[in-house]
Amino acid sequence: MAAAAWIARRPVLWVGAAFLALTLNMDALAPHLGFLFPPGTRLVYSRASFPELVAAHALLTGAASLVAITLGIAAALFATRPMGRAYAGTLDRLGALAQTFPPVAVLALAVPSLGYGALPTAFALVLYGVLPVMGAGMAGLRSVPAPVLEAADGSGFSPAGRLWRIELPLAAPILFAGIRTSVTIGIGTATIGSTVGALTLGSPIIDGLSGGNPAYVLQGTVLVALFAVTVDLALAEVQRALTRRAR
Amino acid sequence: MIRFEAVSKRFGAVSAVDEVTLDVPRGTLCALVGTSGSGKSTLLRLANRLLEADAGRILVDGTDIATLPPVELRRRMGYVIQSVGLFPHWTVARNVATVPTLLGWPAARIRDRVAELLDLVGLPAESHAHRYPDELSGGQQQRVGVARALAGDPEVLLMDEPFGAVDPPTRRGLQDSLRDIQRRTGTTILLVTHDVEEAIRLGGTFAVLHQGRLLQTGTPAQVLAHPASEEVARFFGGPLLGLNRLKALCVGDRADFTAPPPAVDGAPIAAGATLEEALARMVAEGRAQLPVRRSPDGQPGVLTLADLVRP
Ligand SMILES: Nc1ncnc2c1ncn2[C@@H]1O[C@H](COP(=O)(O)OP(=O)(O)O)[C@@H](O)[C@H]1O
Ligand SMILES: [Mg+2]
Repeated sequence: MAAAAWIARRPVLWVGAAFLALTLNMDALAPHLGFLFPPGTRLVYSRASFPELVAAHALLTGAASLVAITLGIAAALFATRPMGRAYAGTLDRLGALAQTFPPVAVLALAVPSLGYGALPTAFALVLYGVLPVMGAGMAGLRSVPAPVLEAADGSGFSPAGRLWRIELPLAAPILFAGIRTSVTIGIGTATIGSTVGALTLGSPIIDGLSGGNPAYVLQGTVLVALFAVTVDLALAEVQRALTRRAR
Repeated sequence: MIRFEAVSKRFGAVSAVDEVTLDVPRGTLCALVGTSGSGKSTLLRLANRLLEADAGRILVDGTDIATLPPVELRRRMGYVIQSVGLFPHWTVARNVATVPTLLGWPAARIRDRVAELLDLVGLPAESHAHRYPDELSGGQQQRVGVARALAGDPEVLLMDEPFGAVDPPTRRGLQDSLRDIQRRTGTTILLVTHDVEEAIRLGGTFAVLHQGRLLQTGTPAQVLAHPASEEVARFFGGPLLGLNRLKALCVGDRADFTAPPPAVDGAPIAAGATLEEALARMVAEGRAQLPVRRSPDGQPGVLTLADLVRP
């Protein structure tokens, strides 16, 4: 009973299960969906299997997110240390400015220098992913009350010790909210990468749109949506644990 | 133990500390008093190098602190601030253990020390060690702050209005235990307060600051009897300065113990009580004299209204 209640309180488990089941069985399921579409529509996507598409999509967003998170945290740390405080305003404004730039425009601008495929997509993902992490990191670090910092300094923490033991644990819940936003946006944005030739769950969507095949569009869309929701819910669980621990 | 030599600190156009020379001998308590903005907190923060002096030097145990690594210096000095600044993600026990942990004490010694200190500040470890700061009242948080500052056996304790958020009875209790701790451990204490009564209660000497300048130092009785300037007199109550003087002197200083004691009615007052208390009793009981008992030898004496106003 208790186990059932525990599972019921964690939607990530059943949304995740649905995502996994659909990914593995889409090719078997697709031939039975003919009644949804105009007669003659090809139902089974043939360029790559869905497990392959999911793996490529996960690899692309995962790698880009890792880079984005690393850069974002580094920028937030820099902007809140004595040496970088002078640049904090510039970074804030740069973040706001970059966010107004549409992802498609970034892709279009990246192609001439980086070529087609995964590379320009990864570049755009990193660019977009850095900003929420940097913003949340700065907000989190600035949220640590001044008396706490004064007491930490007065107690004799080294700057690194203060950062590691006091500032980062207290900033963690806010920082992690930014990481969650960044990763979730990345999963959605990666689909656009298929317009410049990256293999992602966006491939069936783009191919479906250009080839007039609504079955491909539906399959890709459902899986991308489930993927994003699963990851978002999983990160929400981590965030909840962090908030509980950071009190 | 801690010596300021012509120390100055400016913030832009504001001269927060202006050529202050002050010596706090080992094992004594010095109360920094003065109106708000007179530079008390700044002077304290210069002592543990949270701020760097513009001019002059500060010696701790004979060593110029500018030559010491700030982190090591601070671990030797307890620091208590009015806003406490407990680490909100750590339990009370872990907060108190901060400096011993930084100093690398063995776990068992830290555990014993934490329990000892929590008892000392009146927060029994069994019921408080595992709470988080947000589960404590303001006064309890200040007590944890004091325990945290004392945990590393510091030679010097810097306290910036440490009992501001505590209700008066608790504050008196904390002041008494601070005095006990100080007598027992021989810690040198530099304490900021704007509460005259607190400064008197804690004993030690006064250092009166005004607009960054040190106006006068001395025992409460000296300073209150002979304020060096208009500002000092104003700070200690202006027209009511005389009442503060009564707080700084005790019955034993003025009572007459020469035999034979005259027969005086009423319960005897302790020789250690303040003259303020004696005056209050005279007013309440409608008498101009009180019997006195000196504490160790039980010697009887008498205190008259005229003794109170004697210069
Ligand atoms: N970090 C700071 N920056 C600018 N001015 C400061 C700073 N700290 C203190 N001051 C100024 O220095 C003077 C003394 O302040 P402070 O030492 O806090 O006084 P007190 O503790 O006696 O109230 C005040 O005029 C205050 O405004
Ligand atoms: Mg102050």
